[in-house]
Amino acid sequence: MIQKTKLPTDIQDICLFFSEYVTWLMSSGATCIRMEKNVARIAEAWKVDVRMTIMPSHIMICVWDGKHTTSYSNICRACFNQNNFYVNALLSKLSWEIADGKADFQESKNRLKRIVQTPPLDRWVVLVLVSFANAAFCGLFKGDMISILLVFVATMVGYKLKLDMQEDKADIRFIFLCCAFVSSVIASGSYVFGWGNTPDIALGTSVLYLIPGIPYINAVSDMLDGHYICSFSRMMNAAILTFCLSAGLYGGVLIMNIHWF
Amino acid sequence: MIMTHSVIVWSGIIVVIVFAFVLRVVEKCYQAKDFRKKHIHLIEMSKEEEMFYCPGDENMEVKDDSEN
Repeated sequence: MIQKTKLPTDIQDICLFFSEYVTWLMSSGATCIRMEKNVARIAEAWKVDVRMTIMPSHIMICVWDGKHTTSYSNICRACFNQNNFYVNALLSKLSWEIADGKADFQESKNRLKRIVQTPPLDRWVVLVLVSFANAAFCGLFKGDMISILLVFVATMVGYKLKLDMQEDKADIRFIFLCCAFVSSVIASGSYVFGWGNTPDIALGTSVLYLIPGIPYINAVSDMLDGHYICSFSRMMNAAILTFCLSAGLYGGVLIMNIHWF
Repeated sequence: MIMTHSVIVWSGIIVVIVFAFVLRVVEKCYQAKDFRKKHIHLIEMSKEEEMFYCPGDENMEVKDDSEN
């Protein structure tokens, strides 16, 4: 193992590195505790003292040198891309390698630059995988094969619509409403035409791909770690998206005149 | 098949969705052929100020031709 022990000396550079690091970590769906631990790990390796305030949309970072004589502060804004666990894992791996002395400051900057340029997974692959996953949910809830196939098609169409509307920079709440409506209408074909023996399961599972599970989990994680502002913010975002999803589903059920209950 | 109200509504919505996707494919084909790489929408929502000028519109840049 090559030990690179050359420590960075410019506090401003360190602060700007941390700003970019934490911004990308937050944007890729990391919890507050993960951000804090990763930054603390790197700060310990570089022998600096970091104070961080994590807000729902902004992060304030203050970096002190080892002797507490010089500090540099920065406020950075999180950019909300889609959750990307691969980038999340790479950023965490980077923090461990810095802590183990395998990467000096310049190399860390270069690697961070490469990580943030990681292209996302091909959208067509994601489309097919999400459709299979949602269809599997239908099977999990004891839907028959025709319902599973219907949910597959409904998910594929709904997710494609979501991708197209996101490309057009539509509001995410409107996207959820439209996609839930479309998916529920397609799945309601089981009621209209009598396809399959489990139409209720097909209709109910057709919108599961839109459930914002990660924001809910992250909200609970933040709450357990005492980051109540971020937790409440994430919970509200997730709740609003769930409301829009429910409204779309209800709209589909209403327009198709389905008496579900 | 008896064309009930539900069947008609369902079929109508499916036709609209298919039409929207076909429109998008056509848009992408136009964009691919347009060398200026202009983002073209066959149907889009915009403000009327971007197409028409109505007297009294705000943020209007007044061109002063008196110096010519």
